[in-house]
Amino acid sequence: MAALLACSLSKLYGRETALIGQFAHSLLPSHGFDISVDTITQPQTWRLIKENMSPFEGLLKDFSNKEVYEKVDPIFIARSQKSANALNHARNVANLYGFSIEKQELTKGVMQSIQFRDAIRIKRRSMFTGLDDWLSRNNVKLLDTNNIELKRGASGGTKITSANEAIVAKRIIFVGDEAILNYMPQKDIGNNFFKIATNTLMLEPVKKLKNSTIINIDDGSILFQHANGTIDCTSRDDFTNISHIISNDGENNRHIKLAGKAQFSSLISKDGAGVFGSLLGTKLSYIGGFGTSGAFLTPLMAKILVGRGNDFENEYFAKRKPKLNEKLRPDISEFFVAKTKKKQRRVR
Amino acid sequence: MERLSNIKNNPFIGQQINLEKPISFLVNNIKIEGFEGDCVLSAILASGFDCAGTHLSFPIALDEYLNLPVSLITKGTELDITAPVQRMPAINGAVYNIEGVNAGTKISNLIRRLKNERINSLNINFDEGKIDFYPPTKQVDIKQISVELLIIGGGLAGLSAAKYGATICNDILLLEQQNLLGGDAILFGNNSDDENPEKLVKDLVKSIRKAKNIKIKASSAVIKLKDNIALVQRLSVFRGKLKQEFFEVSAKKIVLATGCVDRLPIFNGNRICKSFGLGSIYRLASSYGIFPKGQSSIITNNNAAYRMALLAADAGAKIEKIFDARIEPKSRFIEFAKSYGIKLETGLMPIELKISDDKKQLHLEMGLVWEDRFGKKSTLNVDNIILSAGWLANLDLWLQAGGNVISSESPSGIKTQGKLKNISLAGSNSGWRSNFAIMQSGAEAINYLFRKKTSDIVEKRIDTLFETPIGSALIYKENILDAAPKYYDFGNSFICKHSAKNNNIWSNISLSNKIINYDILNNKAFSLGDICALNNISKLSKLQFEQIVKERAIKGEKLFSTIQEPYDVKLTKAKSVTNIPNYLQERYGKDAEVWEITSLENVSFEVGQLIFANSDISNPEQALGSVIYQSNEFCVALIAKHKAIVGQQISIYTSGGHSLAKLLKPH
Repeated sequence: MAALLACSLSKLYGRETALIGQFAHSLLPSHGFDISVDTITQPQTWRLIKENMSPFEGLLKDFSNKEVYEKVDPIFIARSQKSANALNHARNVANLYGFSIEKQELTKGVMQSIQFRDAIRIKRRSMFTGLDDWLSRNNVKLLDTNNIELKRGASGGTKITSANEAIVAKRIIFVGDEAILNYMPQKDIGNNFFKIATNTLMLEPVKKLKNSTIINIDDGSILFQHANGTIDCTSRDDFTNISHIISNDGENNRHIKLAGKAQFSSLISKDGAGVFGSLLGTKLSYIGGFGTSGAFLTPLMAKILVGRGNDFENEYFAKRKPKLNEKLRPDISEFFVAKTKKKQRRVR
Repeated sequence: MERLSNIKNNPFIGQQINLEKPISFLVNNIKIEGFEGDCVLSAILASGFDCAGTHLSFPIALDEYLNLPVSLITKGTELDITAPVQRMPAINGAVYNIEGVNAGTKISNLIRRLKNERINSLNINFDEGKIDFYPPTKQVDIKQISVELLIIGGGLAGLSAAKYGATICNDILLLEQQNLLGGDAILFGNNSDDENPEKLVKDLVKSIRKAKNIKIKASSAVIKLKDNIALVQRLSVFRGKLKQEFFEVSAKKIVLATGCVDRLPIFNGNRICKSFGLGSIYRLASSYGIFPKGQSSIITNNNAAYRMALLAADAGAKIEKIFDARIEPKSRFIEFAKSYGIKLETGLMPIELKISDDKKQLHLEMGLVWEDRFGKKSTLNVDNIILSAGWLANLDLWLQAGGNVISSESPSGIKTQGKLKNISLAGSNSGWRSNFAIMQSGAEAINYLFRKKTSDIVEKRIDTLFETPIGSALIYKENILDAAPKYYDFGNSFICKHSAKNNNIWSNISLSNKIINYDILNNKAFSLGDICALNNISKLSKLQFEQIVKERAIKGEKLFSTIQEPYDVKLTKAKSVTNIPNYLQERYGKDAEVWEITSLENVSFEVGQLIFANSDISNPEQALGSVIYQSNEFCVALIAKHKAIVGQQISIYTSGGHSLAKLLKPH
């Protein structure tokens, strides 16, 4: 998301931009997914996603010959009444914006299941291998991530010193969970975010599942199967639901073998709606908690940051400014589940 | 492979077998002959099998590193006795099954057996993914044992740790996965003025057998280590029957003396059948007296290969030639090898290994090494190839226990970083090479664990003028089109590079990419050897190396071994409207009200549907409310207050368009 935003600022709006951040090696389990649809309940968010798909695709046009995003038909599953209601609401709103969605047959333990058609998924691993080149071609300066020091300069800018060079930045934006966790004051993280322990797994190839992308909104687990049969999944729970999906889909999928695993911390904004903007009294901006669809709004975020947003867009992001205490922000909640429920009684 | 002819008074005596007691058994319907004391793998290899099956259509060599799981079958019922082939005892008359062989192959094996046809492959298809040995998933009886000190590994370091540990601790358990103690010490010989390893092992074994506070369990493999608890599988033969025991050993302190494994030279065809790892061959020869059949050549970058060649030649094996990548290497073992008439070529690196069409011979292409470039190439035909690109610390248990591994400039490519409070490494897995240092490291591991004063370990090395150190990793970076795959490590991860022309007629017509590239991006668990090779080839940053080891080096972990049933959810709906969902708070204004609504078209509504003031339902931002509760009795919606009037007609968005309803009363 940080790379997409940096490139948007430089390529679309000609801003001199530097990026500090190490991209995950393509062999590492992916820390999350970027899918253009989500359990979004605010109509305005659907509208902005729809309006920004074209700028997003334009941004990546010169990436390289490689395909860095693809169309998928993700299935969203709700296993509780509350989340089923939310999913239903999201479906109704998205439908009216022209998103193609179908209800799915319910299976045991599932209270609502819908499938989006023609959503976009960013192929993170493919993207990571070509990011350096793409950013350099679009004049984004990449700073060494070692020994980074930030110092407020006399002229109001911030001096950033890395291992081998120093620059002065007029504005600093911390994008994504890791940057926020490292650079936002703890008190402000607590005011704005829930910190969630998340696990990610890579699984060796299994037979093709009926659907390549499955999202369980109750425990935030996401499963994606690649064309070669391998599976990436993340979950805030213990992968029980993912286990069930894989092992019940295909006779030979009973021996699921681990190819990689990682644990990391992720953030959910306290109202589920994302955080965008500077903390009052500072020139440090933070962007995080926008969920799996946040990356698709990066061209728009750049537009807001350079002051070119229209009234609707400006208002949308103004409502998402980080708050100094929990009560200061207008209520613009999106559906979210921050804590997974303890296992319920198993019914035979 | 075949049994060695001259194994008396030789380390390759085949210590575990009894040549006077021949046995036979079935593996996947193939009749295998061996001797009492054989493991399933040694008997299979000695029966002429040199191929495990195919990967990407190329024949894969059969060796211990594949860790093939084999199950003992009794009366057609699979018992809970499964172990890797190299640890599974061969029992006379038994029936075994190796995973990964399909029913059709088993039937054809049966037909070929009845026709007395020779088979040299187990015919396992490795394209389907990894076939590995995992801890048991079915209910097995697991005995609980508690000890103060657990030593894993019965080589020089483990034996030394036990001997010294007995002076401090009263309750020691030593586990060794082989049937015999001593590890691979004899392969490496003595270094400098060390005593010879045979004597060192003999003395240590004698003294720890005398110690009353040391229990020794051989044939006992640790298959999982977590939080100071080791899951151990022990397989033994009693009166011709196989006995399996599982132990969960809870230890206050643990010494990991797990030794090293072979590093694989990297070139196309490096795991084609009739190629073997040096360490693996050493263990098979010393335990079971078997060695590759015919003339063998060795590709190496170290002196242990010469020592091995000498031991093999003494035992009647035919070693034709040693190819050493080092330029003018020096070693007393090299001089001995020359005096045995073994030919030596130096400064050569392997480029490609092919197998002849009749599968009887290997065709080896070698190139001259000069500052990372390759010069003149030479080719030759050989019966077998023994590969030795140095040693990799066996740190799988260390990683399972939470230890760290970082990259290093040493030929092995890795070293450990940091310490664990109650677990210590000892021996060659922590980089020690001389017998003296390996033994001292065993004692120092005890000092560390019991918080005694530790001393620096002294590595004794012969001057490099006389003993050339181990060379750098053997890697030929180019990838040869249509050649057999270039694997990164022994083992069952099958991480490889392979490029082949796509001969599919449709791809030719469509002029799409005609070259198929298989590479390491496949989602498969890596071994440490894979990651070291990757590091040698791609130059990972230190952080990337550490992360890849941490996140991708997975061993012995199988997910979801028990199929999970979904947790059923309560299907009854809430009895009353209680809370407005968080995502609807303020959506329809701060003073939005909850209203009962009713359909004018006798349809039922769904929670989440949007409500509009009229039939214009095109803009969700213009909605005046949402359905938030639906029951048989009534339907409730959250409605913007200023638009809510009793009896007002409303439109509810449905997937087919809209449906008319009206507001009844505030709820």
